[in-house]
Amino acid sequence: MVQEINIALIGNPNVGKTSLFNALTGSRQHVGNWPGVTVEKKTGERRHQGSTIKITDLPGTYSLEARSPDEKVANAHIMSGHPDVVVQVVDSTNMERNLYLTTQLLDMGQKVVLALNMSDMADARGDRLDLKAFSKGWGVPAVRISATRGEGLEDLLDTIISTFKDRSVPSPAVNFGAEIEGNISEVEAMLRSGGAGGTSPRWTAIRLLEGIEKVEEATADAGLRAKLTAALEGVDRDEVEMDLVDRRYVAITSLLDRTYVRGSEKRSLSDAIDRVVTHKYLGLPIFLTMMWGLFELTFTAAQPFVSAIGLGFEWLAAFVVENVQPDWLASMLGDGAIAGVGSVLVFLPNILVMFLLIALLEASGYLSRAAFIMDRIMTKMGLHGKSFIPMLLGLGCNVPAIMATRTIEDEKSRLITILSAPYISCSARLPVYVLLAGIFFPDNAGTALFLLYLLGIVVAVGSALLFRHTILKSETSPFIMELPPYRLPRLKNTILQMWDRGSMYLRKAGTFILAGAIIVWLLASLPWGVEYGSEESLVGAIGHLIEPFLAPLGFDWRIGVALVFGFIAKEIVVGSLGVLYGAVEGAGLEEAIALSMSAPSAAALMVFVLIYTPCVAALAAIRKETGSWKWTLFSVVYSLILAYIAAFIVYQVGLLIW
Amino acid sequence: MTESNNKSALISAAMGLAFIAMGLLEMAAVVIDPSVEIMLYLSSGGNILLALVLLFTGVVLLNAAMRFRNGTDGEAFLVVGCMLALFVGLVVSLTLAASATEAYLFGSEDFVDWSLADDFTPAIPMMIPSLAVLLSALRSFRSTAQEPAA
Repeated sequence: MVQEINIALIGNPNVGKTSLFNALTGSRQHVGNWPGVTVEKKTGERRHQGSTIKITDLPGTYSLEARSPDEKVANAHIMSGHPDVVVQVVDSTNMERNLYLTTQLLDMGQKVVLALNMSDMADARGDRLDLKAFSKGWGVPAVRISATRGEGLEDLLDTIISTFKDRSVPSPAVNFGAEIEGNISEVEAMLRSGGAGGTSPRWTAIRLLEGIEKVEEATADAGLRAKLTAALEGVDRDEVEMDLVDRRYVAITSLLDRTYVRGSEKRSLSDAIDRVVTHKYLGLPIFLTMMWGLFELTFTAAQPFVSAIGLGFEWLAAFVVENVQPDWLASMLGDGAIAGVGSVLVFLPNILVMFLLIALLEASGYLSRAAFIMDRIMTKMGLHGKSFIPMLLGLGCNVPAIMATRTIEDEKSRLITILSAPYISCSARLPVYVLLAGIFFPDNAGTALFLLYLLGIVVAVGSALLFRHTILKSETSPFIMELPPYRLPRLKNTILQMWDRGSMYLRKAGTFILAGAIIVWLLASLPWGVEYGSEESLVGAIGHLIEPFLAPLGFDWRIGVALVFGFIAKEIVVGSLGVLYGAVEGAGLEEAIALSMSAPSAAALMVFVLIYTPCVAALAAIRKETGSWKWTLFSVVYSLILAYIAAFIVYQVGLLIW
Repeated sequence: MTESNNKSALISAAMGLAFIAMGLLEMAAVVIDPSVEIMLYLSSGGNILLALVLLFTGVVLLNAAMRFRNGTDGEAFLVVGCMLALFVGLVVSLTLAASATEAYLFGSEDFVDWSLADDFTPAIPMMIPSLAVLLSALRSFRSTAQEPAA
């Protein structure tokens, strides 16, 4: 008989949950060698031995105390009683810390299977584990696996099914001693008699005794509340909490002493590299060196491919104009669709090179170090340490960056990060930089890119600092960050990750950007009979309406139109420039822009595009994560004002220099 | 100081000084006309950020040399210094390869007068000694798992 088994993948951050999820389901969820990659649950399924195993990948969590939004997601899913079996993914090279979560899952009465991941690395270190005795110790089956190599997965699936079929009730791993166990039993009995405590009254009792959960949250029954309050009166919550932590670690140490011997290394290369790359003075220059190389290559290494694609589109546009009838259709395809989409697609190689390099840095573990270095600087400036990880994610796209703020417990710190993350330059803005830097600063285009991304970080950190000291005053909280070991990136995973992110750009080109280009073409052609793209067309009218506001920045009416359409998606800025400047007769896009713009206005435009309002998707994410239209509107207005001021300064200073 | 440390300190210092010299030349090319004959072959045409990166790589390697002399953590700095040297060399090599493709394969207008000397810098040949030193330094870090006590 076909049966359905619901399992949840849980574990500490960066232990390989998403790698296991991908290996089991064949998905391609984003995997990163740093904590906080998964912030919401993801689902998939796998058939095994005639059973359908439905798998939910939960955000990483060190414990089930549910303090930050992503931990709350994990805790709520387990407490919902939905999973039949909880698979805890354990980092085999760091057993002691990982098993803390196991003790909590067993307190919740969950059926647990331990997937001992990275067992190959533990073997390489010389670790020895008596698997049978280890599994028997707490009555929790354990399987050695390597998610990235796909080893041990069949064993794991067999164990999940046998655990599901096992009728025995799991027992807690830790005995907290007569006094605390007495208190737990008393509170648990009260909860059971009142029908409270959800799927695990023992776990609720523990949380009440620790003071993590309030009586009002545990039950709505006034009588039961009174009883619980009386029972908890006189209990020193802090002492209980510390005692519970101690007892859990005593139980873990006792189990590991009996079953596990840790290998030893002569000297760790990972630690040695960290001593330099996280060095007080050298850490930041090393980070800047990596970023310089990244953007230098993003521009230069991709250029031959950009040229090849550009030649292809030029040929296609000429072919369409010569061979398609009627003329309006040829114009729509040639001047609108191909000029618009082509001018964006031509930069796909730059995007792919950038994503490839970011994926390599991420998979190697270096980005965690970058976050660590920036965290030190940000904490010194009074900002929340966890803020930089979402910001780093923003290099790809601001939407996941905004969502990644769920790892931040403090609401004000989270809001500050949400509002400042969009200033980290996403890949959608890259085509604008590559186009303009290539035209106006050809010998230093890579340097220009590097400086723009650096400016993005400065604006994001500066804005966060401003918010913290003005409208969102709050204290910073300490942030303990775990540095994962360096790993040699796997080529297949790196290429897949690059392609997943790059294909998003392609999909946008075929949808938003194509639609935007055709709308701009239509506005440039209406009313019928006017010269295409002229000042008499509708687009000319819109452009002239905005032009007086943008003139102090050195922008003409065409740039104004492109910026308006860039509200939808930043890639449309280049697409619109392609349609509008393509209309300048006898010149290619680059020549047309070079004729119509100066170096100071190009520099001002790049800065404006970097800072001005987040795209529609990012705004939707801000609205969703803040739950507030007020903050969403604030984000638009603040960024527009800031962009205007910054571009004005750049243009005016540029006029003095160039 | 042991003989091995002495040798490592010398190698680190030599490499560090070479990178400092390259950085200064690249910096000089920013202010002096980069088309001057000597500049043409020793710099990539005056890229200030490349100059800073070369100088910084030199600083890390010189730091390794000093640490070898003091007996503290020299290998770590040497390994990172060599990695940086390889990284810079790789960036410059790929830039050169991309420019060559543009010039010779596509015949791009912007690359009509381009020659290998335009993008060549000594950071490219320096990749060879950097790789050799890195591999040698890494040998001392090889994990030697001891047999655990039962």
